Amino acid sequence: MNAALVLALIVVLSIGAFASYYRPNLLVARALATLTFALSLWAAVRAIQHTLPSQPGALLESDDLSALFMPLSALIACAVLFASPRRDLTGRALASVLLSLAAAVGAFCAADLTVFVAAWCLGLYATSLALPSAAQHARLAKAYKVYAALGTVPLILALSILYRAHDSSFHPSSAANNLLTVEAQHVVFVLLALAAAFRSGLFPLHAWLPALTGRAPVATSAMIFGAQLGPVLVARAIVPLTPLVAQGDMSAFSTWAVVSALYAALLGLVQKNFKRTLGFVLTSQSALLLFGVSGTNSESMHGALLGVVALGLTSTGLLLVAGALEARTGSDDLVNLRGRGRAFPRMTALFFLLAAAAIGLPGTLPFVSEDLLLHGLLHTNIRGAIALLVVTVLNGITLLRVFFEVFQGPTRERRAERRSDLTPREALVIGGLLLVTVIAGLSPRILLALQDHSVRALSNTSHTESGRVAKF
Amino acid sequence: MNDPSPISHALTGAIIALPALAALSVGARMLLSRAPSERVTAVIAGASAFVSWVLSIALLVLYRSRGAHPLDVDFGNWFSVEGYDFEVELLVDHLSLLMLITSTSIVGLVGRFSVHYLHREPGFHRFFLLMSAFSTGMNLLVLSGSYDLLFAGWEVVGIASMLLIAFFNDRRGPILGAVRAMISYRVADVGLLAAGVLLHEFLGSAEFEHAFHEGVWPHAGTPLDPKGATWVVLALLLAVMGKSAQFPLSGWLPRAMEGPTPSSALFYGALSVHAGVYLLLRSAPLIESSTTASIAIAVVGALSAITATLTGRTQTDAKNILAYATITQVGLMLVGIGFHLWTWVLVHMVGHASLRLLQLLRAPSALRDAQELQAALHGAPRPRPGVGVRVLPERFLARLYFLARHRFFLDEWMERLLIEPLLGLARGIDKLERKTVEGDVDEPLEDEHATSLSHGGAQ
Repeated sequence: MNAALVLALIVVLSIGAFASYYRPNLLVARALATLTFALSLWAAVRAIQHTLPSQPGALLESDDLSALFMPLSALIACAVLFASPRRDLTGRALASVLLSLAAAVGAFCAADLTVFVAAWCLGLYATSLALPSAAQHARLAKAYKVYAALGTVPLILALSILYRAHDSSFHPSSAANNLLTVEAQHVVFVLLALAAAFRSGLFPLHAWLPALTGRAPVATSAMIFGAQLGPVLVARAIVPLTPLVAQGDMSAFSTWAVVSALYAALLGLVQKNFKRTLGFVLTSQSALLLFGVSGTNSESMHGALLGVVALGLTSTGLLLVAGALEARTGSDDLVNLRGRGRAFPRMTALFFLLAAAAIGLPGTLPFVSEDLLLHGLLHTNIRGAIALLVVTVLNGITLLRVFFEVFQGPTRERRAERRSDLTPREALVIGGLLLVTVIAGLSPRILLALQDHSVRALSNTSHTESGRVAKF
Repeated sequence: MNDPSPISHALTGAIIALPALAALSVGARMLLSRAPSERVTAVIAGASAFVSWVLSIALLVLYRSRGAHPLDVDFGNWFSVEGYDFEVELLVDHLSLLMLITSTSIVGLVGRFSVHYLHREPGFHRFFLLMSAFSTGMNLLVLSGSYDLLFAGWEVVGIASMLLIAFFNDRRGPILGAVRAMISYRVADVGLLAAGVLLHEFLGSAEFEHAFHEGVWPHAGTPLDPKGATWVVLALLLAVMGKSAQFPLSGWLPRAMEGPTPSSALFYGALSVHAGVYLLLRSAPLIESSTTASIAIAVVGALSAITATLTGRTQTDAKNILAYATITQVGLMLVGIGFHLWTWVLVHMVGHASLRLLQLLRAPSALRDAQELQAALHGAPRPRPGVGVRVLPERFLARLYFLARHRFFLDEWMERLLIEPLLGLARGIDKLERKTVEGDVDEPLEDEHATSLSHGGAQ
């Protein structure tokens, strides 16, 4: 997909979002998301067939990484628009989804940090649109703005430093021309790392993510977890723009990421709300992806990038089930939701399979991702690899505990009210996400081939010798 | 010996794939049909079990025809990146064949038994789906040619197991038992993963052909030095403690008896509980090279056997008694492994699996048999107390009975020392975060049966 087409897509999605805000039209929103999916899939197929050369000076560029993540974001947008509870798909929610998708397309195709920052800000605005507006959630909305500022200001500061150096392009030749001093690169690294930490929910910048997952519509949460801008920022920006310090500083960053993953996994064990519990598990998984992409060898990078796809698919499925259950029962409390398996057998089966996939059931994409992550990390950080195992165990316990709590056992309802299980459309969408997870897991070669070029480039860049002349 | 022939590929592939296809078929019928026929489900599951058994016999014939040398059946790479390949390789030798034939035979018998035992049970189809899934996992575990692939089978077995414990999901007890088993499995499985990671670190591969020298099990030897072998075996021992319900992770097994009798027999009498023993038998060359690990295995086995036999003697429920008897026997197998008595342990394992299967399948009718026996013995003298009861002081016996009745407070100590402090800290942090970010704290509803981790399965 050339830059003009990408830009046109972003503009059309933004216009669609604007229109949906004032005159909600679900059909139009679905059509736009489907169109984006079709175009991005076409771009992905082309990327598999031809290695796309990168152009110095380009602002937007469709390469193999964007070819991997764009269809994912579009697929998630389609899934939430087709399968979210109707009551959640207000004008604001539709606008939020379409804007989030536009932001994701912009971020994944960004060839320059300026464009990336613009897409980033667009994404933040999209999320804020969907925040619940009720008075009792005012504090959450305020907290989100504070966290968003804490994550965005460092990004803008990094951008200004790069402007002073030369330019903010991600292209290797431009990065070579930047010639920042080692000290300046350290500063840029820290600033970009802070931004990535906010987006992926690293402690202490994490609290907004599970809170938002618990309160906001599932469509919004799914788009956040589906478009993992944190690992993309590391892969696209941090490594190429700070080559002299990336490898050294990454070890501290990766430690931060794995400790945060452990922290979120621990808190997930004690949650009492369905969506909030999922929020902590998914936040922990997001942190693990940052941990993996900071591994700087090809196995852990492959694992982390595959993990982005796996997390997007499974998180969307799990959140859709949670949303469907809340819409039917009116409750998100784990104790209130007990024993729903008999009433909702399809929901039960799909949730279990998605949960099992999310924690690495053999044959699914998360298993492949975790296996690659583990084997990559054991060469560079064996303690981190053991920590990864512990996080996986804790998240597995949490997800399966939720399954047994909610979908097994006797129900608390005194009167058995007739409620319908997942509709065929919902079951098809959620089942489809599961099927993609399994098929991609059984045959991950295509995805690995798609991201191989980028992983090699990143791996080589992060191991570049420091023989540059400093300008600033 | 690498065996490229299509026959071995076809046989081994079919043995693993057939139960998987049966599980998928039964699952699909459950999703698509309001009232699937019991007969069709029984035929699908039964046929796959029978054909798997026939193919395992055929594999034995093939193995013997190749001079009874171990066969590596290579299915190529599942996925590969620069510097790492995940090989799908199966190993056929007399250990895996013996376990495979035992496994497929038992699955077939239990399946046949269950057709009538679970007739008109609401979860009839779910049982056969899970039984087929278990069979897939077990066959993969037994035939795997690497620890990585063995882990895949191990996980599938664990998932099928926990779902069958929660089979009667309209009661709280089975759910708590399933949660308890799930936690024990997840914690212990770290050991198996860690063992694979360590082997990759030390040898660059977790495949058996790299972890062991060429030679006939169990005396193949290993290129790993004793220190490395010790760490790997200790990691494996953690996995075995969970899967085979050994000290101190044995608390889940008696609670697992909440499931239907056929699944109790299949999993906790015959096969799943012996998966850990099989894992250690497979790792014999590593164990032989490490005295420390051998001692650790023997100590864990001895402690399991002693605590379980004492606890079992205080139980009043037939299936619980059998559960503790199983833990005892598996403990003794671990002692045998610690002493490198490989053939003894193998015979013990197969014999025990068969006997316990019979006892558990017969357990529901055991009470009636006992009553008939009592009636027949009317007027006969009561049996004499055992030697221990006659010789040991009464106060000591009372104290021992008290400890045994409470399972030596193993679960309580683990909760008090490990789980509660961790969860208490997590709850405190969570409360603070919710107050800061959301400005409210959702108090939990009053519920004395809360399935929090600290109460999971504690009965």
